[in-house]
Amino acid sequence: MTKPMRVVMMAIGCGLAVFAAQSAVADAHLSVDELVEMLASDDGSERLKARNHAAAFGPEAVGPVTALFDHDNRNVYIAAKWSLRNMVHHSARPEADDAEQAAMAEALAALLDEDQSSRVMHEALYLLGLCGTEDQVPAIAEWLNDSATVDAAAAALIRIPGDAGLEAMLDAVDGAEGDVAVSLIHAIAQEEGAAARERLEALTESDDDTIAEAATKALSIRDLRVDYEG
Amino acid sequence: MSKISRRHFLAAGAAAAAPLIVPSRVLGRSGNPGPNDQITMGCIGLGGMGNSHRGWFTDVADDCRVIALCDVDTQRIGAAESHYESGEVDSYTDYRYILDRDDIDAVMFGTPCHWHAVQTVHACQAGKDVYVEKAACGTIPEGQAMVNATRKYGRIVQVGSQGRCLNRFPSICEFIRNGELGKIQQVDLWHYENNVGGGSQDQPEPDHFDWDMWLGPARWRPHNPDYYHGSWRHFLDFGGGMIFDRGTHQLNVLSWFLGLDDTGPTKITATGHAPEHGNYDCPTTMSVTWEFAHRDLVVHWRQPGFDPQSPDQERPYGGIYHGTRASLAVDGGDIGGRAWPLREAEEYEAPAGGFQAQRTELNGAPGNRRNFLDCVKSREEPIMPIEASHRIASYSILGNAAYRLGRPIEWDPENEQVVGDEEANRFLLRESGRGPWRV
Repeated sequence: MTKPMRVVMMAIGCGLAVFAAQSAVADAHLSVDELVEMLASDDGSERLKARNHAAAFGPEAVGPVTALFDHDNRNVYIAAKWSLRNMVHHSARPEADDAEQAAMAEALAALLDEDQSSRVMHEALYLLGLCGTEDQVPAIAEWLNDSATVDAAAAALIRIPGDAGLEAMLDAVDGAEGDVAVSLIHAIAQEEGAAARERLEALTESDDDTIAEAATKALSIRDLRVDYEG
Repeated sequence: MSKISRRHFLAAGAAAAAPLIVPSRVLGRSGNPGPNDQITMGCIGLGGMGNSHRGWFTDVADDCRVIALCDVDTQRIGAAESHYESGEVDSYTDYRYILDRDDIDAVMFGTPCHWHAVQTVHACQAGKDVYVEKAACGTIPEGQAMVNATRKYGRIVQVGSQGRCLNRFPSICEFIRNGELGKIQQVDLWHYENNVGGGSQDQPEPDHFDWDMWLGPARWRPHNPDYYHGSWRHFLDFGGGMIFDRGTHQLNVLSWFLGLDDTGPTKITATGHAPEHGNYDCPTTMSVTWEFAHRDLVVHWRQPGFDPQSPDQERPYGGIYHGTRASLAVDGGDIGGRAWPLREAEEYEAPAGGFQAQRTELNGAPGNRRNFLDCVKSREEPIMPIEASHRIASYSILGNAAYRLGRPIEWDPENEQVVGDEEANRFLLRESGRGPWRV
């Protein structure tokens, strides 16, 4: 590397170090109420500061933060959404203990309710896919029969390790019709186990043309993924 | 509004009777176009680059005939149809109707990134060759599915990243690959900041626009006009910001210059400054570091980063390649190709027996398109194949993932797996699409 370029690179490195130091200062503790107040601010820099603080908060902040999802100021909703994501990612970091992640997943599962807004429902299901365990599968599976939530619920179940998610989708596809059935069939095709393949093969023989066609397509896609060789 | 053909209306009203696309159809096709044949094409996605490609395939290529158009916005269909004689093209709002036609050899996808994989895989299954815009894919599994579909169905898939077709880049590639800078140990990419904006509320979709079809594989959300038509690139779930846009071009030539097309980084670190307001959600400023432990190499992406002040003019984006013998700045990626201070790199001629870069007949985007048509006939691998394009998209995917997760990602580039981070693995490798739009 030439000397002038090395100097410039060092300057950039120093700048990044200052940025990191500023972030560390911003980790000072806030209460949940203070976090919510900052997120609800009309001042964008306050909202961003809150969002950057949010990762350190645990399940006690899930309810108050998601309560901002239906705020009149759309910027507040956006800041709250990304704050919740930061909290979940922090709880699921490699060095976190299982109890921390489990508590966050339980708090998210507790949000799932027919009275919730679609924003909260979709976000909770999305994040359960990232931090949930088989313990939350029954709560998620309840939303597999609703055309408004089947895709988000199935996506969460696909991401949760273990067989419980697949078993829930196999149960739900029995008797499912129309768009819900199509979504479930393609979601089941994301699973690599023999049970998924066997069920899809059986569904190709369905008397319901929509289901038979979806199963045929899903199997062809599934086989592509399973065959990947890099 | 310009005319919409009868077929278009049939497609628009026939969502419940979507065409069946299954691999068995491939076996029944009569074959690929021969050297003297006209290539018949369908163009899907008619805004921005999609419309540019459509125009070239229609008006410039003399061995190509565009006979079908598709977009989820009927206003865009109308605008595109105005370039054709009555009856010359059929138009659709669902691309699957084009894939179902036996009289179409190839398709162009100028759709947003989140659609590329599903559409390309479906096209390969239907026996079509594919020209697809960059970035190739939005997730790692999507890229893997595109690679597999291309191979399994024996299709030609060219990705619309034209850096390897620009006049000066092959010479610069040979200059670096033949060791004129010594061993490259660090690359510093610079780019201007991401956009801030988007203030619309969620609202009902207009009659001319099929929101559900635009979303396709993406997670559902209410319609909002800020998401599409030129602004989708400013959302992490759709376009992924500039690291996916021009960054793909910069990373494309970097991968070529350094011989990285079949591998990837081993550790990814990212920081960024989230926007304070507006619907756009990409970080306004961003720094990403890709480490290659197996290559003793570090690559930095910085927005805004350091502009090394070319002797000619301001260069909004480019890369500085630091070797053990010298450093070389190269601007652009999709355009550009000025190199300094060693200007001889632009005209470099590789020594006998040295690395020789592939060259195309035409310069830039036309060269990339021409190469695609030639490969459709010759069945040779195109200059921007899906395997390399999947690897190149992986840089941006991993960079954005490290930013969103707020921590570094350890990556196994051989097996394409995250090491030691269960959530990151779920985030990167278990994204599943929506409804029937899954690969």
